[in-house]
Amino acid sequence: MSSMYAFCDRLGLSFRFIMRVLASYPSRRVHVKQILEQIYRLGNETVLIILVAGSFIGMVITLQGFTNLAKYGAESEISGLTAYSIYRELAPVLTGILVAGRVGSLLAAEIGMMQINQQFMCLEMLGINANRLILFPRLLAVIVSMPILNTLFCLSAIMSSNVVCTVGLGLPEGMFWNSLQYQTLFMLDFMHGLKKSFVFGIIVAWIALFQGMYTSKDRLGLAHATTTTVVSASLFVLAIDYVITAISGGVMV
Amino acid sequence: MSENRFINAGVGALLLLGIVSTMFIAFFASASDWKDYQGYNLIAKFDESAGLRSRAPVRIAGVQIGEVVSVSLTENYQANVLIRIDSTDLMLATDTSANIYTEGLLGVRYIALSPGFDETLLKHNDSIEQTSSGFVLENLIGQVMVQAGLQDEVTDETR
Repeated sequence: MSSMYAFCDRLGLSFRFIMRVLASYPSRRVHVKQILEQIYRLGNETVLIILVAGSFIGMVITLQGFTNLAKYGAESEISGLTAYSIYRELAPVLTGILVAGRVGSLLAAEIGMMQINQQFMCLEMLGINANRLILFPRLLAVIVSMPILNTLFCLSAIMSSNVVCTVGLGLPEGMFWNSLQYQTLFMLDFMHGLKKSFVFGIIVAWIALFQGMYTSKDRLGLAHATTTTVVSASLFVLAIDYVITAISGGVMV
Repeated sequence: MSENRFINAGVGALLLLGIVSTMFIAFFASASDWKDYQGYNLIAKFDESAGLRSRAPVRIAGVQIGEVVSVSLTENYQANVLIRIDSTDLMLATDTSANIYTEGLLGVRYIALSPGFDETLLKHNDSIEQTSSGFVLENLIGQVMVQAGLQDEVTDETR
């Protein structure tokens, strides 16, 4: 019973926390500068891992799908199959999990360290709004860079799939693009994935910032905060992915 | 200051990369359903449209000229198939007929139009009068079974 109470207490606390952060939009030049710096630090430096992961996922889906489709003589539809599964599910989910692993742990450790060293108290004493200067730029940076990373994941997967199809499996280039343009719809499939990745950005940033901000100040506090961030952000990404797919009629029409 | 400028350039490059790759996916790597189609719609009513679904191809002489937008039911319990022709230059005569064909024996259903020779042309939202429905494999098998059964009975009697 008391653990239930503690859970509700923490949930309410996290909700109040995210509302407070969202309300503290930038009001001065230094805040905008912070936003740009955080997009660079959290977005640009994640591009490489996203590109590499995307290209390998695209290649492996292509190979795996090709061997199965070849049994039915439908090899020409391979790129449509690859792109459909990547646009709708794999790109947003894997981007979410990779960002939870790279950016989420980074944010939780950083904010947690600042909390343990009582830097937030210091900022408060100086009369500086920590939400505006520290938290909101990081939240916005993750939310902005997430859809971009999702798009880059899609692109890198498509390109690597193209290379595998044309060079490795000997499919004509025209067949590849033709199936791609017939099987996947931009507004329905690609935008569906983009919407998902936007939501995942909010989820990952929320969990990471909250865990960092409310780190317990004991020996294992920081370790616990980073671990919880990565684990629960990944699980939330998977769960919310199912919910969004289910409510938006994810079954192919 | 120079470091800050570097960061600005990096963020700008990231945003630009995002926009360019979205454009690439929109134009080359997916069907552009955000675009208004330059074309017109036709309606065809079939008695039987089993297996025909939206986005099924519409063909003349094997060349795809459009696709099925939707399949719904009329008040006469017929299948009301909305067809989109992707080109405004392609005009069809009013005595054009529409057939539901199958790619292969168990393959995908598509609509084949055979152009007519009438002077008047079909306009937007006109309906194609001459239609013939696709065959349903189960019905065909049923007929064959009935025939085979009858023949068995006949041979039994003659024995």
